[in-house]
Amino acid sequence: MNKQTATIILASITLLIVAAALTPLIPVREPKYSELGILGPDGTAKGYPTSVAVNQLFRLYGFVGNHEGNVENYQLLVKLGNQTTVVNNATYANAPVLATFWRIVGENQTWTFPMNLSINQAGNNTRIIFELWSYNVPASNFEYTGSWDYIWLNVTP
Amino acid sequence: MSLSALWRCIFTITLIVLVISTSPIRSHEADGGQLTIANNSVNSAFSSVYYAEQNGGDVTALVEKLNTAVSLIQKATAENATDPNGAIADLSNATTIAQMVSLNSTLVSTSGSMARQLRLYGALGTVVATLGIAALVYLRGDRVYRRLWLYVYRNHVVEKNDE
Repeated sequence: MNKQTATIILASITLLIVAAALTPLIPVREPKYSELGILGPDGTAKGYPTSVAVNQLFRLYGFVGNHEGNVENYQLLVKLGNQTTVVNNATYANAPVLATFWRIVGENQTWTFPMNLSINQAGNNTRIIFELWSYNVPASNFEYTGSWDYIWLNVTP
Repeated sequence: MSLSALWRCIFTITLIVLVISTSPIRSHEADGGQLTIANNSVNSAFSSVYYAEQNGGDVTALVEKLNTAVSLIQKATAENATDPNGAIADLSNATTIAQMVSLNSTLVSTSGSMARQLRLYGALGTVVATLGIAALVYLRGDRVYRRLWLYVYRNHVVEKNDE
């Protein structure tokens, strides 16, 4: 082995070791997001109720995933809306809150929970809106994450 | 008793009765204040946990405890109408747990910072040592290799191979 080859091998090994030592210190940039899902009574994405009686209990499951890169303080707000209720990724629904579910979820953890709900007023095309809110630490309040979902229900008297 | 004294007496009694009747009767039902205190305690503790995690601390156990406090608050909200004393006890427990979490998160934060610094120093030490060894090998490698070769083969006899 000549001097030049030896120098190249030495430099390569040195670079490999230096890179391996420094890699854990470099922050990984991954997309940050929260997941929200509403599951049916059996915990799968099917069998959602379409019609319930007033004050009749029905069960759904909520699913929240935390991929924000840090621990999150979530609240899931269930609201009672209708066809005219405006809700989108930027605007939360201005509607009465039926129920609130609250949980602190660690990074890369998920939270699946049952929701026993009932509606105390009859109406066709009632929209049950699910909004995910998270606690903003610097602002010290809960803020709308922009994640939302809904189901349509006919509530019979 | 004079008439004016009698009037003064009646006025005083009326005033006392009025004060008593208008004073709020203290209920055993958990009021909004206790709920707000418990909610604020949990959110404040969450902020401490958040910063502890940012500093590199392992907050898994703290999150678990904080979720116990959250469950107690939700239980208290549900049972307030049927078991107000239980609701008060649950809110009190939730507040205590949240305060404990706040205290512990300081320790977790400190240990996380130390662990992070140790990792940083460890990595920098590895880099410096690697570069130093590489420089030494480059500058003195030949000489060391030859000395080692001579040491290993110090008893080696070179024989003529003319048969």
